[in-house]
Amino acid sequence: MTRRSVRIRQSVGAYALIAPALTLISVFIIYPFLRNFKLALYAIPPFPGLPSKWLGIHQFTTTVTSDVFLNSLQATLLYTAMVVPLGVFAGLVLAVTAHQKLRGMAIYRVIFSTTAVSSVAVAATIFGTLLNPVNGLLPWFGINVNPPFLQNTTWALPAMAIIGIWEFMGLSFLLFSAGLQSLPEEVMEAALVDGASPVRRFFRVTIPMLSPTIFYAVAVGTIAAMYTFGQMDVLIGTGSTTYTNTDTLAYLIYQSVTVQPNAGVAACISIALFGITSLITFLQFRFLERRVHYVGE
Amino acid sequence: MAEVRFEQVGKQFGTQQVLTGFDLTVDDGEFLVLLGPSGCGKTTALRMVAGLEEPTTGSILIGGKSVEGVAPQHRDVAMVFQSYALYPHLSVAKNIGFPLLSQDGSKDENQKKVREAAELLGLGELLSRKPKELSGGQRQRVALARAIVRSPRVFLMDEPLSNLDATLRTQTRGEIVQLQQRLGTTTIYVTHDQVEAMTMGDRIAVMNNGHLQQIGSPAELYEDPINTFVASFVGNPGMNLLRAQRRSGVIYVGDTATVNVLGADESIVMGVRSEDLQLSNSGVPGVCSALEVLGSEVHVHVDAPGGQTVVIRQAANVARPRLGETVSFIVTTENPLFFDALTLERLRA
Repeated sequence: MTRRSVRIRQSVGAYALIAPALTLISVFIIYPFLRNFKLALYAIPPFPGLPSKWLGIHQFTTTVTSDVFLNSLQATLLYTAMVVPLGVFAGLVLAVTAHQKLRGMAIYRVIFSTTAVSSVAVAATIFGTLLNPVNGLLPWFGINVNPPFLQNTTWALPAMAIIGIWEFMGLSFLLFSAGLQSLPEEVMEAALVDGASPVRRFFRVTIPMLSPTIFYAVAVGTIAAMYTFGQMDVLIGTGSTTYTNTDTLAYLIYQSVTVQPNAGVAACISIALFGITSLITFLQFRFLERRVHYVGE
Repeated sequence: MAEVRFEQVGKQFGTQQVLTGFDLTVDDGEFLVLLGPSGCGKTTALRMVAGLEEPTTGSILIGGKSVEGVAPQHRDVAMVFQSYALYPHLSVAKNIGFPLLSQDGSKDENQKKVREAAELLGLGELLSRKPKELSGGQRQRVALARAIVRSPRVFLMDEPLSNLDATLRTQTRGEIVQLQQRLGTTTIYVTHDQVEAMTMGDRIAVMNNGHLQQIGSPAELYEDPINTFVASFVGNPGMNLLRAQRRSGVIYVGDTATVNVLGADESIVMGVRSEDLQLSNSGVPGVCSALEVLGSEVHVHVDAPGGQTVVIRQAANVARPRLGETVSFIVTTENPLFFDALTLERLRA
C-alpha cells in the first residue's frame, strides 16, 4: 500500500468520525446562520406562499438607523451595564463567603448556586410577585412607586436588571467558587506568613489571581445579557416594552416577527446584535485580557 | 533572631496522629535541619511554627513566648515553600517587597531593603521581571529574598531545593548556608534528602512516623546513630545492617565469623558503613547483584546470606566483580555498631 493511499484511508476514516457532528452543526447552526443573512435582504411577507420582496442592504441600513433600533440598543447596553458588574460582584462576594471553612457552608453553597439553574420564567414570576404594587414585598416596606415598577419608564429596566443579576449571580458564584478552589494554596499561605492583612490578601493576591475567572465571567455574562429576553416577555409583554424602555434587542427581534411580521427586519436586527456582541467581546479580549494573570504561566 | 522550642507537641488530623510528644529546641541563630522520609511529620512541625497549623497538644515557643493562637502574620517568621509560592502577577521587586507592605517603613526605605535583598541574592538585574520569566533557580532566589527582606526572627524552609536540578541544588545549598551564616537568623530547614541535611545543618533532627528519633551534629548522627532507622537513613549509602549471632565473643554472619566483640551470646544486628566492608577472597559469601559506578568510586551491591543486601564502597580503580559473580566480603573495622535484634535500638558496651 502506498503512502498516498494510507493517507487517503486515514482521511476518509477521520471524516467519517466527524460526519455526525458536522451534519448536526451544519443543519442547526451553519445553515440557519447563513440563511439569516439572506433573509435580511428581503421583505418577508407575514403569510407563507406570498413572494418576498428584494430590498438588499437598504433594509439593513434602514433598520439599524431607526429610532426603535437605537432605543432598543440603548436599553440592551444599559441592562448589560447593570447586570454584568453587579452580577460578577455579587457572585464574587458569595463565593468568598462560601469559601470560608465554617460549619454548614455546604448548604449555603447549594443555596447560592440555585439561581444559576432556575428558569428565567420562574425568576420573573417570583420577582413579579415581589414587585406587585398591591400584594408585593415593596408596599409592605412602605415603598409605593407610581406608576408601578413594571409600568414605570424609569424603573422597569432596573427591575429587569435585578432579575438578570439574580440569575447571573448563581453562575458567577459557581465560576468564582471553582476559581477560588483552584488558587495555589501555598501562595495564599505565603501571603499569610508575609504578614498581609485579610483585606490586603484579598485585593493584592486573591483578586489578581482570580482575574482569569473574572474575565471569563464578564465575557460570558456580557454575551448572555446582550441576548436577554425572558423576563421582558413574562413581566412586561408585547406592546409595553417600548413604553417602559425595556425593549431589548432580543425582544425587538421577537416583536419584529410577531407584532409587525417581517422576518427580514428581525434578521437584520439579529445580525446587528451578533455584530455588536462580537465587537464588545473582541474589545474585552483586546483591552481587559491584558490585565489577566494566568497562574500556571 | 530567636530560639524556637517545641514542648510535647502533638498533631492529629482526623484520626491520624502525625506528630507525637515532639520535644525540640532550636537555638538562637542555629541552622537546624528536620530530616525524615515523606509523611514523617517534619513539614507539619514546620507549618506549626509558621502558624499555618495549630498543635493538637503541647505548645510552641518562639523567643521564649508561646505562640498559641497567634496568627501567622504576627509571628514574625518567614517561610520559603517547596513551590516557592511567588505571586505570579507581581514583578520580582514587588514579590520581594510584599512582606514590607505590612510594616511601617516609608516607600523609599522599602525600596532600599528590596534592592539590598535582591543584590544579596544576585537578582539586581531581574527586578522588573515576572516569575514566569525566571528560571527555577532564579525563582528560588526570589523566594529567599522575600524571606530575608524584613529580617524575621526565624526562617522556615520547606524543601526549597527539591524542584532544582542536581547541579543547581548543590550550588544553591552552599549559598543558603552562607546566607544564613551571614544573617545569623534561626533557621529550620525541612528535607528528606540526607545529603542536604548533612551538608547544611549545624544540627539535624531525624524524624520517623511522627517521632523525633535523634538530634545531633551531622558527624554524631553518622558515627553514633541511636537506632537502625537513623543508621540506615543517614549517610549515602545508608549503614549496612546485618542480622548476626554472637557466639563466644565472635560475631557470625550466617556461618562466617567476622569480628571479635565480647558479650553474651545473642542475636544482634550489626551495623557497618559501606567503607568498612571490603571484597576479599574469603569472608561472608554473596552474589554481586548491582554495580553503581559513580566516577571516583563504585558501590558494589552484594546479596549476603539470609536475603540481606549490603553495599560495599570501593575506589573506581580497584577491580570490580561482574554482575552475578560469587564474591566474599570482610568487615575491616574493629568497631562495628550493634543494635538489639528486637527493639532495633543501639547496644552500647
